Amino acid sequence: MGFTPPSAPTASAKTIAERIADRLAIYLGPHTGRVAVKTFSMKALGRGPETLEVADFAKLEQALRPMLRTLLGSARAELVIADIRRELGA
Amino acid sequence: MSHRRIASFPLVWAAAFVALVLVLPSDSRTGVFLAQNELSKGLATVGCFVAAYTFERGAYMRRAWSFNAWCYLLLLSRDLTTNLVGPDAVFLGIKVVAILGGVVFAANLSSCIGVALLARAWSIAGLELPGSRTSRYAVMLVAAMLAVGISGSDLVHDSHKLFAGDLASMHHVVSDLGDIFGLALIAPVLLTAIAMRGGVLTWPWALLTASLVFWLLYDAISLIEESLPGHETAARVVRETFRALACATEFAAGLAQRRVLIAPADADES
Repeated sequence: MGFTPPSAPTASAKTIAERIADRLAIYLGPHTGRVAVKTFSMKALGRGPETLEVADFAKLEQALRPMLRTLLGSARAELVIADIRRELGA
Repeated sequence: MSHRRIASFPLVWAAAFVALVLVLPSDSRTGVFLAQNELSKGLATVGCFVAAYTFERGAYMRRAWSFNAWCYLLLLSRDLTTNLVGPDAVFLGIKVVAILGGVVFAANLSSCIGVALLARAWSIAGLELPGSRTSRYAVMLVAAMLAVGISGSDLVHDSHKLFAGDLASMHHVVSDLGDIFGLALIAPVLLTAIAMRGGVLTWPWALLTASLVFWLLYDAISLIEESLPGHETAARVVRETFRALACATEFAAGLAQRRVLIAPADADES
């Protein structure tokens, strides 16, 4: 009878919000990555990040884009959004 | 070049300056002070323009970095004109000192706009700075009080001279006002850097904050310099070291900003 150590949650075990926040965290840091997902999912969808589904990303990216463009410029912002889309398979 | 290497450059720059000053006899240091001053401003100009032109035309941060770059470029042109032509020369019937007053005004205005744009970037992006509203206002109030406390006495002193008819004091007054405004905005820039800790964007913002803090210390040394008779040389070395650090840190901030945008963000580095 062996002991299986707890492993880190895999990408698929994470929620959609966590996966988006992880991508944003590379640039904005983990705290602001989470805050951004929460703020913009409330703004774009009118509901909390825990309710996010892959199909919601089309609306969410419209809300995230101005923030990313301000801090990273258009080119890098589009790369980040494309990266998140790829990550979610959206 | 990694962010850590970029961030260590200002220390190397300042250490090289201090080493050179300590090696030279005190009567031969004037040239080193002058060269450090101009080279440091040149570095800061290049760093800010590098950051600005990494963003596309019309980008918010391009404007912010450009205004900061123009501040250093205008101050550099003021210094070069003063050293090459002299403030008493006349150009097109106007005394050079008056023209330089205008240049310093434009430089300070440019710096104020640049720092204000940086300070507002977070809210333009639609995000909230970390901490409660009360704690944020408290940090901003402390920064504003420090700025007024340190540069305020210079402002009073230079204003007296200006009102007594010393026109050359005009650009000092403008510079003091610019210092107070710019340094009071340390708080939002610092809070932005804190909010992004753990992300690569924290590097340019932390370096920008450090640059503003070094300028604050530069002004603080100027403030206590007069109350340290007999230690003028040591005070000048310390003051010039803070100038070297402030300018080189702004240069490093510009390079760090560019790296965030052109190199794939490497989370391990942050």
